[in-house]
Amino acid sequence: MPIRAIGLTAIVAAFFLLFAGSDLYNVLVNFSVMGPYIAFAVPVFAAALTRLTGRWVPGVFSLGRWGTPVTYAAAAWLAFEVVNVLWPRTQPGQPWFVNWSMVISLVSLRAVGVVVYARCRNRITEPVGERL
Amino acid sequence: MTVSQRWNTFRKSSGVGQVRSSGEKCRISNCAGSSEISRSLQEAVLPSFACLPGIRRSHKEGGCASIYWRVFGGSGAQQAWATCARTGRTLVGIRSLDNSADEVAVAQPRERSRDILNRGFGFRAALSLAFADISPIVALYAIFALGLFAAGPRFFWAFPIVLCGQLLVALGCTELASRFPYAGSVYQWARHAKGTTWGWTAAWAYIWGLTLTCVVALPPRQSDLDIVRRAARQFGQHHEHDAHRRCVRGLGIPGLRIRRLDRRRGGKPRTQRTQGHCLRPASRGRAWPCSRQCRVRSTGWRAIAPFPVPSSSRNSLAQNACRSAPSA
Repeated sequence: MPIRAIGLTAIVAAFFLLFAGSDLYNVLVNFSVMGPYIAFAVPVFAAALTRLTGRWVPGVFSLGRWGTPVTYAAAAWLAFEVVNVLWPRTQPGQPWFVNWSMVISLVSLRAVGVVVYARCRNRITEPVGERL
Repeated sequence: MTVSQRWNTFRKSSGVGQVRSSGEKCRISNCAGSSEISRSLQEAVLPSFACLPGIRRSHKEGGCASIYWRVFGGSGAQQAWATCARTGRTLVGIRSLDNSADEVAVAQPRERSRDILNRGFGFRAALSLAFADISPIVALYAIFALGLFAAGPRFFWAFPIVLCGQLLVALGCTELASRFPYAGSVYQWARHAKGTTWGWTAAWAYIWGLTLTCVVALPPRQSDLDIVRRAARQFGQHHEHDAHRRCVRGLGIPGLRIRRLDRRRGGKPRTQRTQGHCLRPASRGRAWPCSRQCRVRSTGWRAIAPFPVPSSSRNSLAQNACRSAPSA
């Protein structure tokens, strides 16, 4: 059991819960819509790119000749959804940073992520099984 | 030539000498192609590889197998193991404790790499966990009122549309999971397909997405409540109980009748009036402009209904919307 990871997640979630009701909380929490979309968009885009270059080798489960169009369609759908979610809609009575909360949280988390990744990148030594 | 000599020759010729420090894992195949490596290993180093179907198949198809290599400094012990990407299992590990040893090929089918997905869950357990984790109910009750008030009856068409789109994503991810069956899902898929940076990006987004979902799943969001309250105020009293009827008509399902929602307030359940009700929000000084309403209702309607809506009902809806009569 990944005890430490579970504990850290619980602590971080509880910490953000302390901000409940504030505008910062709304801005942060809106990312919960955005995060999984990006998380699944990245591998699907990667698969679409490898299929574009013709280096895709199917695994045990394969959609056969439908695999390529399905992957392209999934990538297109995810691109549409990411843009759709990012698009700032103006809701009456909301401050600007709630309307732009997706963009703000994405940019800020990305900035933090770049810093963290630059610091820990050299320590990632696990082998890549089969890079396409 | 002993097996270990051939192993060393192969190691030098294939440029595996890039082991940066002792004890470090290195991927053997870099750009020479995995098929070359598996063939060399198959023929020269690992006689037992020849009987392993995964390696043989991958050798034919241009390298589904990944072969890792580890050198322990000092003692000269070497360890190699092959991961078949097709089955996701580490098939064989070999160990050479001494360069002079002839018999280095020892099949250890149970040895696994750390990345390999540990299939501890059966179908039922995995389904239960996935349902609890990504339960649609949480998202539904969070957005239902919001979407209904923001988009009106057309909101329901979001469900089949999003279902189709997400089904495509699920199918794509299924292929990825089958291709890279390693523990870590999106991280491993993106990393093996395009590189560590891609995998890290996906993992970072997933970490924060899931952590913040934990936060959002607990209390109702204040902003949602505000929006719903404001929308309800804007729509006015009688439109609250009109919402259901409009939803039904918006879906274009004929013959479906919904009773008024205010029945439990003490009023008698009435049959619906379909004519003479305007679709505009109750004007309390800040009603929506009528032209915008007409445009949204009429054009958006035709664009989004997948089967023909009877022109009579469409017209009456549009007329009702345009009539802009103040609330009765």
